Amino acid sequence: MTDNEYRSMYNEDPYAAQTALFDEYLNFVCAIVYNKLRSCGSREDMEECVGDVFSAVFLHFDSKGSFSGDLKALIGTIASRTAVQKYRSIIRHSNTVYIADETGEIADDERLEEKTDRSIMQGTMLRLIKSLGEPDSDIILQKYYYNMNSNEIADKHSMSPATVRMRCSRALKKLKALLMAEGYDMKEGSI
Amino acid sequence: MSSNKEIGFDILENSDLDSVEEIGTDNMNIDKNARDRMLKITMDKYSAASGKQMNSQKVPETMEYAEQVSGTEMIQHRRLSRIIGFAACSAAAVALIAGGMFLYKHNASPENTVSDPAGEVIVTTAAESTATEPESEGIDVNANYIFMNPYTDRTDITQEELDAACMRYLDSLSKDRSEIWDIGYSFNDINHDDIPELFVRYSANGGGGEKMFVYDGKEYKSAHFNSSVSEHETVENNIGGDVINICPEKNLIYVSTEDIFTGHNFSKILWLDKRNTAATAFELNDSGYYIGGVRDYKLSDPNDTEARDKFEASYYLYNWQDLEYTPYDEAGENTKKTETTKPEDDNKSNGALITDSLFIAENPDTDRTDITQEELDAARKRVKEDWYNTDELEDNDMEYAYADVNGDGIPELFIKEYTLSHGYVQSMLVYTGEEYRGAYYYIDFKGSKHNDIDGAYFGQIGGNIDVYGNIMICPEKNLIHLNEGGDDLGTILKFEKGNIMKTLYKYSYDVCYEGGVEVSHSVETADRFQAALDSCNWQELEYTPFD
Repeated sequence: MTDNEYRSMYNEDPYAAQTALFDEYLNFVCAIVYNKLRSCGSREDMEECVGDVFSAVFLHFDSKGSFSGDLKALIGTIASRTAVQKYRSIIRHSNTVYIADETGEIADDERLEEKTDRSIMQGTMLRLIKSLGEPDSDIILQKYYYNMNSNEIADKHSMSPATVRMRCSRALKKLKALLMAEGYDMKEGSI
Repeated sequence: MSSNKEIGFDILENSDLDSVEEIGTDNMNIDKNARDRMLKITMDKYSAASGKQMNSQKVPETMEYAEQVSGTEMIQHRRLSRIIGFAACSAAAVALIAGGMFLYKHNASPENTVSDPAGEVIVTTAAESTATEPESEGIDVNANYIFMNPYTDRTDITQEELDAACMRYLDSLSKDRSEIWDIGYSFNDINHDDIPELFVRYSANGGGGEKMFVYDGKEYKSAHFNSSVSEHETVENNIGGDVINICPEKNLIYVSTEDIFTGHNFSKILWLDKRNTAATAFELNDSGYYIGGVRDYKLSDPNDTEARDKFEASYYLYNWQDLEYTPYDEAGENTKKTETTKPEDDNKSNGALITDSLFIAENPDTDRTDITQEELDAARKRVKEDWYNTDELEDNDMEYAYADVNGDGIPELFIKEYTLSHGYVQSMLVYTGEEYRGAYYYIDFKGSKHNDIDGAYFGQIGGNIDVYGNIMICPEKNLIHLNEGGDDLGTILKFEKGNIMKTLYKYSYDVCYEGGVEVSHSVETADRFQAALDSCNWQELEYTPFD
């Protein structure tokens, strides 16, 4: 959906336009929100945050009369910032200390080094997961990152849950071997 | 302890937008209820912030969180509207499948189950649903549980043609799937269309099963049906499993598979019409017992036998027959695999055996000399506790064996576990001085592709690979024979003191190595590999169940 398409649709029926935009970018926004709140937020937190994001997007259009620039990038930025705010709000009201702090600021060299390490590890993990090939890479992400159960994954891939469990076990073993070859051990709690 | 850095899936959190997209924005599971909830939250927030009142009537009411969070399904037996008009013609299914349903007539006795042995499907459409009630004990098979398999209208088909089609399929099966042997076939005309369905029995590494095929006028094609995942959710599956029984007088096929990890039985009774359309009449799985696609009994407790009892009551209504198979090429190629893994006699020459390799993997090792069996047993127990798939199903059937392959006085640990796809599969573990860790060997596939036991791609990168598959050992020569299934024809590993693993031979359909050097896949290299195998006295490991 482009800015023009949204605007003309909005002029006809604002609700229809907002719903269409919502449906088009729902997965994208949910993925961003989940990525920020995965460790600290409940499902209700995430759904509320998604509501905040789209509400902010609609308000942005109302105030500007258009979406200037890349619509997807704009929504991504709003989603990312809103999710970070939600993250901070959650940890402020929590007794739990979360190690990862998304301040977006680099305080010193040590922090820079830490962020660089993390970025390398992220890249390595993603690369190795992708190297498993389809559908194993998706299954691994759905199981261990998105915490979906075998039935849900099976439904997405038109497989039986038993096949999903088997592929998952094998893919995980393979991933562990690949990580080991790169100098990493899979964290036990992550399996 | 390993000096490696630890890494988990949480490393993917707080990614940049590009990485989020790479993880996959479509991988999330957002169902309609969640979507509706979030849309409602959005519109409520937007209305509150903007002062504009959106038409809330347009936003569907959502399910309560509590229902979702608890995992409690909404029990809405959306029995489809009663079937009214009948059209005794299965061909109509093609046109009616989208909006219609099948009526599979079923009473409590076999005699009343399907009145016509030829088994006409009785079909109606929603548009016709305005007249009288059908027979009260009829089963409505939801249209989602109907699968239209390929079929043919040809009337000139001969048994010779079908035999040839069967052999073409079996030849390709035997040729392309080295891990399958002991193949048998059986023709049975389940749906009385004068074109027999083909049933194939096979053995695979540690497993096997039976599978059904239908003729499309040219070839035998894998038959499918729609299976319940949960209420109102289906998935397409092959008609195949551990056991197939048939009841031709009622056009019925019974397929059953037992998940030995959970004890769950996945069984179904399928009805096949003359156009090879399969209707899922009864089904038992880990979510309950279904009649015509509607869950009759929800399984919430794994120990609850009610669903199984109900399914068995349906099963015993019919007169089932076992399939009688004709062996395919009894003395031919398909038995080759079993022969290659037989222990051979000691007198054979070992001159052909390579003893060194460029492919070397240094497994974790220990210099300790004070290791006791008690310590190893404790470590072995921890292996079970930490096994990678204990959160799933497969820890209920693990066995172990000790064997000192490299002669260093510290036995290696072998684990045998049951996998749904491949039966029993074995892993080798080495002792680090503190714990047992998975053993690995090195292989460099360079640009070649290689399919592993699951058919997964395993190419372009070299690296250490788990010793995982079918394992036999030859301790006197410090050797391990590994077969990973799939395209793998076998690997011979030498396991030396210091837990050094050398890949002496690697044979797959795509790539062959001798001593870490790639060689062509030829009769000569195959003979050399066979000679290497024959030079060793291979032993099966003797496994013991975990405590």
